[in-house]
Amino acid sequence: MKVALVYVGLIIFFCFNAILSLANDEPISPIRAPKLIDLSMVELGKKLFYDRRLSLSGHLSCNSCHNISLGGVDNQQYSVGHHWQQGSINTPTVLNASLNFSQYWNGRVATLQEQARDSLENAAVKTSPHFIVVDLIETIPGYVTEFSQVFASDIITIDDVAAAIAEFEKTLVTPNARFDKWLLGDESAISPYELSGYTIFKSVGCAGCHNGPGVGGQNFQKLGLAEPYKTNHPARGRAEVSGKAEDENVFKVPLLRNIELTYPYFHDGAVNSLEEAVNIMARVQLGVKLGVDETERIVAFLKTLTGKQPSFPLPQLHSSGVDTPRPQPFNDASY
Amino acid sequence: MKLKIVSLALIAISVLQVNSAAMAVEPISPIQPVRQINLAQVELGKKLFYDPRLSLSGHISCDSCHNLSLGGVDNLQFSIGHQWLKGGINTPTVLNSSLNLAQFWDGRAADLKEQAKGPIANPLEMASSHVLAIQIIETIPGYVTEFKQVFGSEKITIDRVTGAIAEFEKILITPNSRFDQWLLGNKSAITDYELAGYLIFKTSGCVACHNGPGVGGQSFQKLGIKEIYETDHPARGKADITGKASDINVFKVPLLRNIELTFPYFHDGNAKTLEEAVDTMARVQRGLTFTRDENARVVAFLKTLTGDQPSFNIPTLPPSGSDTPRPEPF
Repeated sequence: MKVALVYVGLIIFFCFNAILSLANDEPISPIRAPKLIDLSMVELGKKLFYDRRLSLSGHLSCNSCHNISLGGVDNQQYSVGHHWQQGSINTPTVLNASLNFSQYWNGRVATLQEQARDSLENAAVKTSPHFIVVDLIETIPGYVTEFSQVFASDIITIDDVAAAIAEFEKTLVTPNARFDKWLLGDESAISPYELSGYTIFKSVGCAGCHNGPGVGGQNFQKLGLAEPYKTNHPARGRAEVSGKAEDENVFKVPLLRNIELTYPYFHDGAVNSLEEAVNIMARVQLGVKLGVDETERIVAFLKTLTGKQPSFPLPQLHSSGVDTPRPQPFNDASY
Repeated sequence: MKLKIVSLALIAISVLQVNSAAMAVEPISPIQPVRQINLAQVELGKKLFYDPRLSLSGHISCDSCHNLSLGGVDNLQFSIGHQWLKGGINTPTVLNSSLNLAQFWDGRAADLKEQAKGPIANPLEMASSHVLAIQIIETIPGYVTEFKQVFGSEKITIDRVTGAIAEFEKILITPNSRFDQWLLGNKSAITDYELAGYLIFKTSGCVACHNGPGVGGQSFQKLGIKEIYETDHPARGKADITGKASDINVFKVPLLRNIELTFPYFHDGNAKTLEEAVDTMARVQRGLTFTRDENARVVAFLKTLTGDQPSFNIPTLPPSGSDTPRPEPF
């Protein structure tokens, strides 16, 4: 009896090891739940993320472009901005953005906090040099109390605002994708057809860049390694940051998590379908011309990367105070 | 012992009667819980309410103007519509809108289902058409399945779309305000100061129009009964529908529930503060000039009408299909 138990124990141990090593051998790893999260900052950041008063018009919030109900994007080629201005580059998803090694297509900032601060400051500069986000927040009594509780300080800074938003964004991960279940040992979580798509994805070299928990977001790569990527879009990628000729068209490799939700694709948002995006990538990055069947299998695999979407109660925002400046969206002098 | 129980019971009955009598004489009644709701339609309607694909630009949803995180409004004088066009009239709150006798400021829609048809096709708002909206929904596989499940057949019609949105909107009530707690017998739910404001609100005649569970929304009234309401806004109220001279400046009495959240006030969104709005109403509707103290008390009372705000998990919307028309905002 004891011997039998030892055997069972050993078998379990080996199976576990086998599964672990299987998971370890794969270039993609499962999304982990965020750790060491400050929940009070999350709750504050959630409100700020949804608060349209952070824009001059009172019409745009982070969620306007990074719609958490729509895969963390707006599904537009270019987002609609202040006064219906056209955004300059396709909006990347905020979902799993914490898995990126840097933020923005050209990776010009390292952290979510810097990204949030830059976007708020950009919004201010683009809308009105006189519109100061912190000044506005200071006039909303509920925020004053909440900031003082969360940051234990009476002074509200743009860094605190951005830190709270970033902390909230860290919770916007999408674990539990069918592919992650497969990685964790549930062999029936994906079909043989989807698995064959994953095998092609690896064998043709996609996983060379699209790897890690985010299936991308780990490095920069030149767009158009094997043949030029044709576009009218003026973005030059890393070269805009470094000024170096070798950084022309070098972009951050985007995450492929929830990729079926985040159309249209590429920094120019020129491609509507996942099939077309896969074909173009294989051709311009790897010099591979995929057959229809291969493309379909890869697309089927990519759809297994859709994870559990964020779920939380709708935030209720603090009401404006008597001194809170009222938005003037139709005042052309402000823009 | 038995006698004691009987007297206790009698006391209980008389207390209850006094309470219900007290409630019965108040012109305002508590917001009732939602009964007989179709939860499947609510869940579908919630998605549609938040779905910007119902607009031509893919940028505007019902929630853009009726922001459920901000008291069911956008706190703008006039909302921002398609291509940043300016809305025609101040956006009324969607919260408790099921308590209105009709929808829109001029009451041109009989119910919420009828109302929801308006903004989708309004060129100043979502600028789509019912045909395009249906065409989009029909090509989104997740919606096709859900409509079939909710309505029992595959047909997606504008009536089903707005019916589901209206069903969702019925749950957007805000019970449990401090004033409702007071109405239901908790005498410590409001302060003496707030109660004094309620008494002024009644004695000056505000309750003649602002009554019922919505504290308004029960009737149409001429704006400017005692003196002219000055505005350069072109709306003529019910006269815009009936063409009758007697209907000029006749508007639906707005709800006062959550009024502290739904600034700016009036159909022209001209009053920025509740103090200003109360002062104007007393003057133009009742011919009264409130003292500063009376005004402050009425405002304090009005703030007790803020109830529990809607609370539900944000919806996740189904992704577009390969043949779903893509928005072209520019």
